[in-house]
Amino acid sequence: MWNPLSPSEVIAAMGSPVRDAARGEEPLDDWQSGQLLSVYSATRHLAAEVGAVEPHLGELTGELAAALRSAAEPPELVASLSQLAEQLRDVGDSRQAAEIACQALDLVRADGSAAAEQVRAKIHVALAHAVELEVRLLADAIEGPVEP
Amino acid sequence: MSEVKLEEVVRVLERSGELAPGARGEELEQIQGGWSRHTYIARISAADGSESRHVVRVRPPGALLDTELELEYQVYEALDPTSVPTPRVQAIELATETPFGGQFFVMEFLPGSPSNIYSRADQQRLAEDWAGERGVANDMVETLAAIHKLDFAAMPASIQRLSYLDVVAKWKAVYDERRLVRDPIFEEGFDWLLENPPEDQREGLVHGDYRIGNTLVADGRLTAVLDWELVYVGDVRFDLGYLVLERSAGKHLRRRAELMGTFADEAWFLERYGSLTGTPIEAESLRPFQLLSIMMLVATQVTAVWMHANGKTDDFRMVWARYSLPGLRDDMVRLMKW
Repeated sequence: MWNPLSPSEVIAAMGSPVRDAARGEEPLDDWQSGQLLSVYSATRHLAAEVGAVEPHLGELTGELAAALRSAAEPPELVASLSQLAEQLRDVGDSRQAAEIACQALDLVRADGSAAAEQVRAKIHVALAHAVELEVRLLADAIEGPVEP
Repeated sequence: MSEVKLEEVVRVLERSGELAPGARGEELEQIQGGWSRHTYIARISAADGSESRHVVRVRPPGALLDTELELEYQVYEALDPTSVPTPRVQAIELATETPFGGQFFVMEFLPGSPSNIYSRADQQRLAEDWAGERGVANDMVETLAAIHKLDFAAMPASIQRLSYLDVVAKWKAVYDERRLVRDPIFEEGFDWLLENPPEDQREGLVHGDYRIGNTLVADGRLTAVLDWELVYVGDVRFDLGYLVLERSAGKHLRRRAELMGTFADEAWFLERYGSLTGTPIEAESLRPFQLLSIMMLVATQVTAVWMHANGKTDDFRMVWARYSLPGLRDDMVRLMKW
């Protein structure tokens, strides 16, 4: 979900190996075939990422924001986490959501109180849900749905 | 260009005395695989008409990992007289300006092929070995036990000696330097490793990337253990933790093979390893090492993406590496019991 490189950067990187293969005068060797097969695989992942995974960004930011707002004490931590929860409202990219989650985890780790640990556990639940969702949606598209 | 490369292989083999003067390069083919080393097969005719094949391992300019080719060569040399099956190394070129684009060494071509853990056909073949003779399964456990029992004092002095915390710090530094975005799962993973260190240490030679894909198998038996570039002296349970990962059994997004590493039952392997080494292994004691080996994979995959994004390589597999991250996060979340 919050993988490095945006979908448009991935698409841009596909151009070079495809062009090289098209221009080559010799039959493709093992290495060149491998490059094209990687591009093929990336197209399948990318289609699932854009079509199935990214539409769930709102779920992730909503669950994360709820976890951050669950902080009860100490007051400084509550204020800082509320501010980060507000920032999640405007997030349009999962990589930005991940950055905010990291900042929140930095705060709760530094605080170290029992209350902070409770918030940390709730952040974990929200993140774990996003991880499970991404793997399930990608796997359904790439490997096929699990047979009942 | 292939001709120039072939001539270079012949030149270094003649220089090392492996080939008599007058040899001629016939064919050079780059093979798939190898993320931080590029691999070629060279076919050479000697002056007397005999033919030989050799494997060329190249450290390309945009190598994925900053590992020393010379050390890897020395490790192969040191392993040659031991019971660990490895190809004999034949020549090394340490100049960085070569037709291959970087340093390279040459080793003998051994029979056998590496298994592709993602291939259904290879998984089936290894499952049949497990259900039958168990030649591969036995060789894998006996070879790993042999590696871990080696006198590491007899290995090259430049092999790093790393504690568990050193290894955590090593991969955390790579992640910090090479990440393009911050990842909350990975950062909590590094923190978990610091909070959950192993209770004791079992020091020995660690291969660092021990899996069926880094071996050669011919006629149902292991003929070689390859890819020693991540070798270090440290807690040997790293290799075991790595081996029991679902990823080592071909998991990309979902688990695919029932067998550990695609070749053996996990409980059988650990029990056999324990009896061969005299040190029983509790599966639960491997959890920190499982997560630690995932962090190694994370660091290398993040590096791969970083290298392409920064123009250090045009190898598209480095971009594809971003798609290996969701499955690794999934494993991490389970190991950390979130």
